[in-house]
Amino acid sequence: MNLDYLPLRIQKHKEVLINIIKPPVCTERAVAYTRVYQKNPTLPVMMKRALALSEHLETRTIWIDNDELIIGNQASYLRAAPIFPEYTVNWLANEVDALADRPGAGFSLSEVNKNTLKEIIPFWQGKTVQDQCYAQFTDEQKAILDSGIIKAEGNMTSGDAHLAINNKKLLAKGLDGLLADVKLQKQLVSHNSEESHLGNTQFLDAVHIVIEAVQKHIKRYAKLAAEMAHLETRAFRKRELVVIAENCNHIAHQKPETFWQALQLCYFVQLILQIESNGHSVSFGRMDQYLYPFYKKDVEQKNQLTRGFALELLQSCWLKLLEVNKIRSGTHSKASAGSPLYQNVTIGGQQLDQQGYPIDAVNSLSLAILESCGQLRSTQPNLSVRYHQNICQDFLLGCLTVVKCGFGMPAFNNDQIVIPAFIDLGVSREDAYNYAAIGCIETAVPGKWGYRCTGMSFLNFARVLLAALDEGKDATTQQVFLAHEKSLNKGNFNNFDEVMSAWQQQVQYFTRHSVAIDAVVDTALEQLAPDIFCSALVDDCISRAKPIKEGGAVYDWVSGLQVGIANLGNSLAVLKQLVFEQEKVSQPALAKALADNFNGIEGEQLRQVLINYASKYGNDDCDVDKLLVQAYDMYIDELTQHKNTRFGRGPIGGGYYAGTSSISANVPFGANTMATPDGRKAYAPLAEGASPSSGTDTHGPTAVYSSIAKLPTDKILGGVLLNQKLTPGTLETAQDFYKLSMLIRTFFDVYKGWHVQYNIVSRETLLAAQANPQEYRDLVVRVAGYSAFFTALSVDAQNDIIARTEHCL
Amino acid sequence: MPTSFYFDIQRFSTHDGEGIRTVLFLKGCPLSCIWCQNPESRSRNVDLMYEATTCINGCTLCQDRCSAIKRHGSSELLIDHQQLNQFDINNLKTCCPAKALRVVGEPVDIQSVCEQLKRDKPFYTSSGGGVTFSGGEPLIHPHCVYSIAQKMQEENINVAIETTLHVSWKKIEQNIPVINQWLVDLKHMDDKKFKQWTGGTLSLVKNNLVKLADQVKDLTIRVPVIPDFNDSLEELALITDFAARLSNCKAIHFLPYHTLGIQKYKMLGLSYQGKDKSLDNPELLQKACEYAEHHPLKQLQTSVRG
Repeated sequence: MNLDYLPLRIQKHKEVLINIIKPPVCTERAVAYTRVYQKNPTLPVMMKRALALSEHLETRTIWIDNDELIIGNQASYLRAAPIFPEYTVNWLANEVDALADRPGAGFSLSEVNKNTLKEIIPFWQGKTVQDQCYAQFTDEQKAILDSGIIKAEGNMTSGDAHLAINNKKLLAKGLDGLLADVKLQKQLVSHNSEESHLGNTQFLDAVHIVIEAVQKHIKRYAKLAAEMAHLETRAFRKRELVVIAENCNHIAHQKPETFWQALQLCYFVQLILQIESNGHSVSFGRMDQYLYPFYKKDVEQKNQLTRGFALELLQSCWLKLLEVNKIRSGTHSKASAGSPLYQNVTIGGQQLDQQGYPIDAVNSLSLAILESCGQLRSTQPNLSVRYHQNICQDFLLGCLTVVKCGFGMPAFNNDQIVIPAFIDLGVSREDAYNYAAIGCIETAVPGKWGYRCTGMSFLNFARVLLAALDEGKDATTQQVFLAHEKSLNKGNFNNFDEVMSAWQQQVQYFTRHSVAIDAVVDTALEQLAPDIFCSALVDDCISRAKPIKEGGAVYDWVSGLQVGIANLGNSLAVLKQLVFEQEKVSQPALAKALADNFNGIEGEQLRQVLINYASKYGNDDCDVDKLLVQAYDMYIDELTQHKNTRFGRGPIGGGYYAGTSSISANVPFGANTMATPDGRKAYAPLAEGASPSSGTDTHGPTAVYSSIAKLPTDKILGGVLLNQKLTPGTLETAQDFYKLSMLIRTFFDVYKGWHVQYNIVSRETLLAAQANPQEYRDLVVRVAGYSAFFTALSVDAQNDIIARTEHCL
Repeated sequence: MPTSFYFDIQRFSTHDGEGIRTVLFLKGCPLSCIWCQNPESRSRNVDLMYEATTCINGCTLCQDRCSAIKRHGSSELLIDHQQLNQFDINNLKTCCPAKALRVVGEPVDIQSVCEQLKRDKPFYTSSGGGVTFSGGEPLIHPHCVYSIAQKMQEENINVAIETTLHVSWKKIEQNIPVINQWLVDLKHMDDKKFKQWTGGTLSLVKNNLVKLADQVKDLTIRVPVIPDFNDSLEELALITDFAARLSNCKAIHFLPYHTLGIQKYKMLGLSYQGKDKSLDNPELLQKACEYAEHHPLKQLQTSVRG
């Protein structure tokens, strides 16, 4: 692998993209959708959405720029973020004048576009997904959401996504092939006169319209490329544009024949999915598997394509992924630091041979993808490697060479825990072996799984615990949601078991409400914003003649995100050890210190005792680790009793599991959480994912692994996120690489770890980048399951990363 | 037998023997090298360390308990280490909430230490690692080392030791059967200079080393490269010549002087006599490695670790 090389055109393209500090907002989509919705008020929603997408694709601005090899643009300007008014306009109405000033998430908006937005906002007010959600929430649900203990803003202000479509099928059939399936299914449905099939017919009609619109759209690009080829004076670029035009004409209808065509078709679909909906974490699935036949034919058999050019095609595609953008509300941006889209590409893993035995799936394209990402060092795609015991050691060492580049990738998922857990859930063996990472670290079967294998509502564990310790009163808002009699303040917990019972009651209460809130949001999305194109590409939506949201997918489990895992465990350890066992701290004294945010010398003395004299999660200390498992299990036992809105409507599953890949939500969630018994001060960040609290894991990575392995990882399929920071000196000699590879292998093979990712950046570099952002625009760091440009983060998020423990080898 | 104390158990160490290891740092050293970066390892007994940056401003808990500690205004604590006795130190053990004042040194309880050392066994197995004794000089606790090492052998855990060999042969000999890898410090070839900079007797080290080399299979010589003491190619070459003549010595490691531990002197109330700048002479290290790798008597494996 040569990671120090990057083709000149790719360098230039990247330079242009990373220097866009405040990307523009594009109103074309919003205008087209408004026009179609206004013109057709009586049409069924399915048809409105098909026509709107179709009209937008027909009329929007398209361009080809930066000498790119993979083409397609999401919005009218480079890196511009489109507006999706059908989900929400409320925050937009409030923030439209101040978009440029949001820390870490600024956008520029021209006066013309500002006025355009102001004109269309009133049409949508009262009609959006968010409006419908708020109309249906009970007062109690609204109060809980307002308090911030449960957050679901991202779910009702955008589409769902968090899935991978069936790229393998797309490449095998081509768009004409897909259309033929739809036509056939329409005939079947129309003959089936016994059932009420109006909705089914409408869905299939809508799919038909959309696929044809996509085909026409690709032909628009063919035409544009041909025109540009005609005017182009540089011979090499002229040739490229001619090929691009031919490719587009071909894949608009037929299945792709070449690697270039296949990649281009996958990108167009990826792009249009993110024009149809602004749901993020639209992922490619196992790209090294479904593109391999094309790669093998062109690069290895026919020698039609050099390996170098194949890498350049991949890099062009990655930069086009970076161009896709999303604008979120100011508050929501804090939970998604660096405006990420989490477009995941998964490589490695296993496949089943003809006898059904699992074999290593690493191939030459896996390496090419790895190398292309290592050279580019961008935030997109989010590259995940599926680890298993028999993974090729050279490939693993290659992955570590890329890890050393310091942009947080690739992340590792463990086949040995995910596959058996999926099979236990009821996923077929073949599908389980074909899983892919989605978005950050979560996992699903590409092309067969519904939305949001993770990404449902967020639950703040730390605040739930604080309520449990004070008669059910939320420390931040002073509201009581579920009252009980025990409080530290009154000192009437008779023993530690009563603390655990109080936690159980509270967490059950909030879990039930989070699921009920999800149901409201899911219903609004189902009724107001079904995805047509996305559903057409997920099995078995076409044969069931209904979209994913109505139960079209083969599998449909979801997970929410739990925030503050380590804080929960550490706080419980303080209560058990210092309050009840050693009686070093009295209940009222702790209550008072928490209420005062450890004010004064005595407060600080107590805080330091809590930090230094009780066990901390992440140090292989059974006492605290067990408490955390016990408390987490109470949550999981409640959660897994609940169903989502697709239960019984077709998919296998229809339920919930746990998840910790809570992006950067630990920072804003912490900002709304008062002091906690683990010694964390009010407003400070909570611990990230399933990682230990910053600075408390003092025994090195092996101890962290041992602690995390005690969690019920086979029940946390929404991801057990572990972020570790290593110093650059960690990976210098071949011996170092070998040792780190063995560290990972042991974590996965023996401890059955779920996921791990490494940030290799020195503290000095981060501090320098914070002080001189202009010199470090290209510095990429791992945030929480994804990578972001460091200088694009808010100062809070930057500080959180700097504070995370650095492990020296 | 006096109690042995340890001051750290460091998991995931990768520079002290093969593979991924856990290092047990025992307290007490017969030498007093001027450049030592682990001053808390010197005394066989517990020490009191004070880290001003984490001290809670205005807190008086330690002063209330011990008359040898004072604070003037809001400044750092003044600790009269001369006046402190073991009773005072024990009395301060759990006194400081912030652990700014920390008692360094835990008595070795063989069973509990072995439990901790065994924790990372899966990592040792996969990486060819194990447990390493370090210090101080671990062999001033020969029985303690033996008991623990034997338990590790029973568990099939590889055992390495970092030693100065500045102890009586008897203490070394009894541990030969339970140690797999020997990492022996050889700092200089000149008796006088050795005495001056370390307070020790070089002939003791050399005699032990020659005897040891005949009896063990896995022996590595480690040379701390210290400015003004041995940072010349001539001096390093003499050490290398000696290493090359040792029967079972396969490798020589050059460890450039660093200053990561200077702060700890202040924290212990000690003054530091060594230099405040790390060795910055990659050329010398490279030449020393080349010399060792192409030695006419024996080609030695080399490594440089900062």
